Amino acid sequence: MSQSNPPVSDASRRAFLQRASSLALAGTAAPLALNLAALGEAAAATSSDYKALVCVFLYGGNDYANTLIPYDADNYNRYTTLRPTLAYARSALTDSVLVPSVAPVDGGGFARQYALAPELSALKPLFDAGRMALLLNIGTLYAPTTKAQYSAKTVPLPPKLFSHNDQQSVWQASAAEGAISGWGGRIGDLMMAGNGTSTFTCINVSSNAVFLSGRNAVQYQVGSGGPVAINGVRNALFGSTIASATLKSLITQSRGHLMEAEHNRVTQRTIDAYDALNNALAAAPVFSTVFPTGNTLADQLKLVARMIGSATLLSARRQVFFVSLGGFDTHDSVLSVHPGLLTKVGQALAAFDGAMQELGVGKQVTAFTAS
Amino acid sequence: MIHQDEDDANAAVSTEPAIGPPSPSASAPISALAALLPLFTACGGGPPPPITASEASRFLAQASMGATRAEIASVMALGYAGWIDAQLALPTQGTRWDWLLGKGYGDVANKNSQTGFDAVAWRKLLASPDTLRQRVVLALSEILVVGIDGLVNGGGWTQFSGAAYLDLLEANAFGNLRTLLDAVSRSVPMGLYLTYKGNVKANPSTGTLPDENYARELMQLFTIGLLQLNADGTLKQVGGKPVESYSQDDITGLARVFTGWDLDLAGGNTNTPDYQRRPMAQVASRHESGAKTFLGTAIPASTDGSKSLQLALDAIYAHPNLAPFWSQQLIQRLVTSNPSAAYVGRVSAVFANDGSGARGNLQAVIKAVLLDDEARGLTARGGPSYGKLREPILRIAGWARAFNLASASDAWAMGNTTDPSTRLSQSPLRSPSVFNFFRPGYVPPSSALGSAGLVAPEFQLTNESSVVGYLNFLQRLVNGSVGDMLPDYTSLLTLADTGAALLGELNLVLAAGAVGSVNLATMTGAIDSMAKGTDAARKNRIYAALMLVMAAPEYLVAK
Repeated sequence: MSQSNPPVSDASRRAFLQRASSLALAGTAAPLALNLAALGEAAAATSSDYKALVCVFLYGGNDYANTLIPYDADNYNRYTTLRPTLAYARSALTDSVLVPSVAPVDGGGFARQYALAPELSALKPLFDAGRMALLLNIGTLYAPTTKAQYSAKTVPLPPKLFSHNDQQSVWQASAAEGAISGWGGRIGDLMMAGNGTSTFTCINVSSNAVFLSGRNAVQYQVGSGGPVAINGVRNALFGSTIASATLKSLITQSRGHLMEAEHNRVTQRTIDAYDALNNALAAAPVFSTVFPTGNTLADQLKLVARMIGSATLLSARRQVFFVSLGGFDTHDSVLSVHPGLLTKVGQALAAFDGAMQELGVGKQVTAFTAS
Repeated sequence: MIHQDEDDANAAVSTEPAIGPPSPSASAPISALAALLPLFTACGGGPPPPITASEASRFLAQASMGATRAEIASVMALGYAGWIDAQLALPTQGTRWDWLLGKGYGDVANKNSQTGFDAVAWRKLLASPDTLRQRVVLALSEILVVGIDGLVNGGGWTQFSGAAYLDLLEANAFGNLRTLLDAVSRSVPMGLYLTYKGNVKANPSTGTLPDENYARELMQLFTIGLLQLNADGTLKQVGGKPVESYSQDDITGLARVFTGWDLDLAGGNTNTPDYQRRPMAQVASRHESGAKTFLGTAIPASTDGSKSLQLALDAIYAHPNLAPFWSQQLIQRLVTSNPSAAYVGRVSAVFANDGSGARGNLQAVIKAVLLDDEARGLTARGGPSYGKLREPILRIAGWARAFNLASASDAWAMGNTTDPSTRLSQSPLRSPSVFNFFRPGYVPPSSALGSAGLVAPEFQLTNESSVVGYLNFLQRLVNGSVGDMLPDYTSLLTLADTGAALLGELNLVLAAGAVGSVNLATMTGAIDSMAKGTDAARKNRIYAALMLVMAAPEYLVAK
C-alpha cells in the first residue's frame, strides 16, 4: 500500500488492484471501496483525453425498493407482499420495464425483470441506448448479509450501521463520521498532476462533503449559479478603491491562529480562481438541451455540464464532481415525497446526459448515484 | 499577565478610544476604574478586577446575540453573574405565534405556504431584548433540530409549526432540560419532523414495526450520543476501543414507546393552525401495550403512551452521557469549539447536580459555561486554537444589535438566508437535516486544524461560495438596502470623520477589541483616505468601516 502507484496507463488487473488498494483507508478493506474503485478505473486512460466522474449523492437514504421494482410475476408478488401499502401497481410499471441485452439470472437460473419507477421514465431511453446501467447490491455492507448473520454478528459490518451521518461518511470515505479523506478526493490525488490547474480537480457544486477531500486534493466549491466575486474587492468599496484593496488584504492575509488562517485560505482560493473559472464558463458551449427548472439537482448538473464543456479552457483533463439532492429520509412520507424526488433525479440526469451527448463526451463522463 | 502579541489585542489593559460611551452615567465611574486598575488581575485572593469594556464586549459575544454599548455598560455595572441574573429574570417578550396571528398569517389562504416564518424567526434574533434567552434558543435549535421543510404530512401551517417550536424552546430555555425534552417529545413539530406522529404499534400478521426515527435520533443527537463518555466528555475506552452507548435492539425497543401519538385536533380540523402548538394526543389502540425494553430498563406491559414516554425519558435522562454530551455542545455553541476536558468536566458536574440536587438545571449550566475561567480568563484564549468561527447568523445579529436595527413596518424581511452564494449558508430552522448546519465534530479537510486534532464545526459552512455570499449580503445590509431594516448609526456619525475613532468603536462593540494594531492601522489609513465632513461622506466611511471590521479574521474568529 505504500509503494508508488503504477502509471495510470497500465490497465492490467494487477495494476488496478494496486491502485485500488491505495484507496483502502484505515479500518476497512471493504468491497465497497473496490467496487467504487472500479469506477475510478473508468477515469484512467491515456493522458491526452478528458474523463470525469460525477457523484450524485442522494442524502437521507433513497428507498431503493420503489426505485427499481421487480416486474416478473413472482418477484413482483414478493414486492407487494412485503410492502402492500407502498407498492406501485404493476400496470403503472409496464411502460418502464427494462429489457437488458443480457437479463440478470438468479441462482435458480431464472431471468428476473425489473422496471424503473414511473417517475424515472426519463431515464429509460438512456438505458435502451446503452448509456445507463443499474448496479444491484451496491452499498456499505462489507459482504452479503442475511438477517441471521446480522443478528449473530457472523459477518463484519460497517461501523455505526443505521446511523445516517455515519453511513453517508462510509459511502463517501469508507469510514464513519470524522473521516477526513474521501475516495473521490483520493482519485483527485492520483489525477491532479495531469491538470493544468490542480485547483479544479475536485469540484463540489453542493455543500461541504468529505467525498472530495484527498490527501492533497481539496474540494473547490462553486454554486450552481457559477462562481461569485466579492463586490467589495472587485469594485470600489463605498466609493473607495483604497478601502477595497484593504478589504482584499484583510481577508487573504496569512494568520497565526489556525481558524483565522483556514478562513483566509478559503477566501484566497475563491479570489484567485474567480477570473479563470468565470471566463472559462463564459466561453463554454451553450447547450440546446433544456435543463428543467425548479430542480436544484438539475441546476447543479447544469453547472457541471458547463464546467465539463469548458474543461479545455481550464486545462483540466481528469475531474471529479459532487452534486446532491436531499430529502430522501422519507419515513412515512414515501408515497407523498419519494415520487417527486425521483422525478427530479430522472429529469436532471436525463438532461445531463443530453448535454454530454452534445459535447461528444458521453463515453468519457460517468455519473453515478449514491445514497 | 498581559499578552502583547503584535496583532493581538487581548491585553488586560483596555484599548478603548478616548471618546467615552454614550451610556448611563452609572457606568462612567466603573469604566474609569477599569482604566486605572487592570493589574489587580494577577494577584490571587483579591476581589475580581473591574470589567473592562472590551472584556464586557467579549462576554456579550458569548452570552448574547451581540454586544451593544448599553449592554456593555450593564455588564460593567452588574458583573458577569449579575448581568446573567438580570437576563434570566427578564420576562419573555410575546410569542412568535401571536406575531403571526397579528399579521394575518392565520388566514387559511396561508395554510400551505411557509410565508411569515423567516420574518418571525429572524425578528427575535435581531431585536428581542431578552438577548441571552435568544442566544440560548438559537443554541437549542441547533441541537434539538427541527427543519421547517421537513414538517410534511401535518396539515400545512408550517410557519405556525416552526413558530410554535421556537416558542417552546424559548419557554423552556431557562428551565430544566428534562421538562424541555418532554415538551419537545410531545410537540407536533418534532412529531412531524422525526416521523412519529401517526406511528403505529407492531402488527405481527403483516410484520410491520414502529418507525424508529425518533428513538434513534433522540438518543444519538438529543441526549446521549453514539459513544459512552466520561464526565469530562472524553471517550470511554474498553480494551483501547470506544464503547457504543446503545444498540439497534435498544432503538427497536425504544421505538415501541413512540407509538400512538397523533395530532390533537380537539374536535376541529386543520383549517386553523391551533393544533400545531397543542401537544400531541395518544390514540390508545395504536400504542404498543406490550413491555418495552431498552438501555437496560423495562417499561411494563399495559403502560399507556403518556406514561411510557415519561418513563422512557426518565431512563435516558439518567444516563451518565447526558451531562458531558450536553455540556460539550453548549460550550461549543456559546464559547469555543475545542474546550479542554477539564472545562467540559466542570460544566458537566453542574449539569449533573446544580448544587441543590437538580439534574439539567439550564440556568446553572449556562452560568457554568459562561463564568468558567476558560471562558472568562486570559490564560486559555492566547493559544492558536482557542475560540470559534462566528456562525453567520451571529455575525448579522451582532451588527443588528449593535446598531439597533429596526423594521418600521415590522416586516423584518430578511427572508430565507440559506443560499451560500448570495446569503449566509444558514437561516433559522432551515438546517438541511436533523444533523444541523454543522456537526459538533466537523474537521475542515486537508487543514492545519485537522492535523492539530481540532474540530471547527462552523467551518462546515465555509467554502469558496459562502465566504463571498456573506460579504456581498453584508454589504447590502450595512447601508440599509434590505427590506425596510434600518440601522441607527447616530453614535457613529459623530465619530466618522476620524478613522481611528470610528474603527475603535466598531472594534470594541463588534469584535471586543480583537482587531490588532497592524490591521487597525491599515483600516484607519483606508477610512481616512475617504471624503468626510458631510453626512453622506460619513455614511460611506461607516459602511466601509463596518465591512472592514466584519471581514477581518480577528473578528470572524471569536476568542
